Amino acid sequence: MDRDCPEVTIFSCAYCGAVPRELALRAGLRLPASVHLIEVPCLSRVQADLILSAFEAGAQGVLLVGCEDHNCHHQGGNQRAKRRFAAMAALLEQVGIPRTRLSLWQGGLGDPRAFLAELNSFLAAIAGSPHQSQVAGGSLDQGAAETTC
Amino acid sequence: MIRAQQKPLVEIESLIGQAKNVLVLGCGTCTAVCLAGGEKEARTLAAALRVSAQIKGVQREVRHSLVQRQCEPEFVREVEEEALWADVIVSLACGIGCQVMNERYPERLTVPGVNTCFLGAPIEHGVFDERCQACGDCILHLTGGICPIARCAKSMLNGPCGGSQHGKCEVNPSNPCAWQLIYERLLSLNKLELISAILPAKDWRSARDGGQRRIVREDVRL
Amino acid sequence: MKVGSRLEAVLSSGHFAVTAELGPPKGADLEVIGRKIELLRNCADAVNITDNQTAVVRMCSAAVAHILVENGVEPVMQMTCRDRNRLAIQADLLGAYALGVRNLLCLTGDHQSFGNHPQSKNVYDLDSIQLIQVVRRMREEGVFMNGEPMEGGARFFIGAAANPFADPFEFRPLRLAKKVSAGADFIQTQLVYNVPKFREYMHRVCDLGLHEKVYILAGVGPIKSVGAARYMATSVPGMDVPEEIVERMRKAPKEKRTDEGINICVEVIQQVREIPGVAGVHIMAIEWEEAVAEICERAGLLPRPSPQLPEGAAK
Repeated sequence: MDRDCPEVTIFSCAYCGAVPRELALRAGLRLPASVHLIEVPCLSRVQADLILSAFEAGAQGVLLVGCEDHNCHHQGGNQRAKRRFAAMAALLEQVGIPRTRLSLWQGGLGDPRAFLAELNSFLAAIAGSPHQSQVAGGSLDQGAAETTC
Repeated sequence: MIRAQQKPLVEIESLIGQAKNVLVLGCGTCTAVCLAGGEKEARTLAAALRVSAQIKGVQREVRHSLVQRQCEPEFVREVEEEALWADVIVSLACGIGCQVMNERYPERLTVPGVNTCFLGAPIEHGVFDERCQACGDCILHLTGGICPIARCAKSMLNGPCGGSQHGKCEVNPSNPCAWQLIYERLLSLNKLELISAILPAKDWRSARDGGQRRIVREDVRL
Repeated sequence: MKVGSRLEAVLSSGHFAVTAELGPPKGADLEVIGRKIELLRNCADAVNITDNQTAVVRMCSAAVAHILVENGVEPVMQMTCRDRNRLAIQADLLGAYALGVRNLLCLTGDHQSFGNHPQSKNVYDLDSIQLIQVVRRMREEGVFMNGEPMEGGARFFIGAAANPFADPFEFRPLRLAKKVSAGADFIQTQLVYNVPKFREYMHRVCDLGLHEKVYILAGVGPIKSVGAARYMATSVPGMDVPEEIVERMRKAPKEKRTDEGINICVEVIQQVREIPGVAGVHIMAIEWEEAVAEICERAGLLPRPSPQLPEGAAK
């Protein structure tokens, strides 16, 4: 584990938003040890209390991964998560955590590259430098992705 | 029920001041139902205060707890140990609960973590509307079950005023004009005669204007 | 005659009455009042003195009404329920009467959120209809609201407002009936620009027989600019300015726009004058008192009559 890689908690929807797990299964991608993946039945369950717990437990950033707008496994859970996002980011700001430390990504299983890009830019933003903490996904197609941080 | 809204975190922190031990005390009744001060909100606020203290480098322990009905002395007795541990208690109950805590634990300052707003009903999930001003002399039977005291910006008894347009109140067009609602309801009930007569000036003594109110029920006193 | 004011005398003798409006200054400057008095002196039978109009603080209406009395112009003092409870209202009424005020317009009052002190606590202890009842009992029974006798009565000619264009339209004539049964002697309406709708309202009012119990003065006023027309058309609740009026203002050449505003006002006066039940007009030229003389002249409202006032009536 690279000590420069920031501690990040990913809360991911277990259904169509389960990109991180699928990536790992399909491409053998390993998330950095400092990136903790927690799957939830629906992203709308992730509210301020859970996000604050993650920060309390030492996370430097929290990434929320949910389904695309039109594609919630349940009924509008992703929309609800989206509506809450602004309020949660505002609360974090009041607490003293910059808005950039909380991010929401909505995408489908068919778009792992977009997810990797999001994760990388999130890690980079937290680390404060674009050159540290890159998660590589270049060889996804070969099923042998290696992530470095 | 009583409807409340949590105060901004920065204001709550200023109320806490330099206190080391802080208890965030939720209430399981009204403020829980309006999502301002139940167990979950108490837990979230406690976590927010802890993280904030950590970031600011303030030495502070924050715990949270809940009483089912903070407005009753018997209920707040249950949290005696935590209350006495705390330097400051942040009450997430309505103003009643906050005062009962101060009365029950006079050696500890309990500060309000919410603004108590009004007596109201949810009109959809997360949206609450005022319905009653507890004026102490109910006239809903005269006004089609719609309260002009609470719902008309001028508390008019012989409305609607000239600012009623398209069924909305000019003071806040997202609110319906109470008198439009009253008119429509009584029209549909065929009881327009109730508002064709002049409703007399109200005796406000039963409301807050008569000073602090008290109800005494001799039949149930111990 | 109930009171013997000039306005009452004009109305009761069957003349088509004219009232105008004078907004007190936002300060203690007497000169402004003097100037406005001269602009209105020979145009109107009586002049309304607004009471913290649109909830903006101005010199108190009783004081300005008294200044009018001193200057030989009859005031209609406006009194709102927004800023006074029933004690203050009755006290102010006594004071105004003692200072020579004889006509009173009873209003609930614009909500303070529209004014320049939106933070203030409002009162609304009474509403306009209850206020009318209070003033009538003062006059007819010589008692305060609580039933206690007064030492020397205050006898006002009682006015009330009506807005034919606010909702619900069907209830407005019934609400007017409530004001009449409360004791209103005369009514001044909201500004009329939609004459057909006002005609329909008056038709309903006459069907209820209200025109025989109360003098109804149609509210009229000149529009100064296209912007003012559009603002009234879209942003003032309870105002009905038809699109044709806005268009007329817009099409008028820029230098002729104020003239066009006055033209429209004169036309509206001529139209409402023909509507059964209309006993006069109330000209509201807000901060444009200069226009009133021309409007009255062109609408054929001058000279104003000099009705015989009963002996002992206020000068």
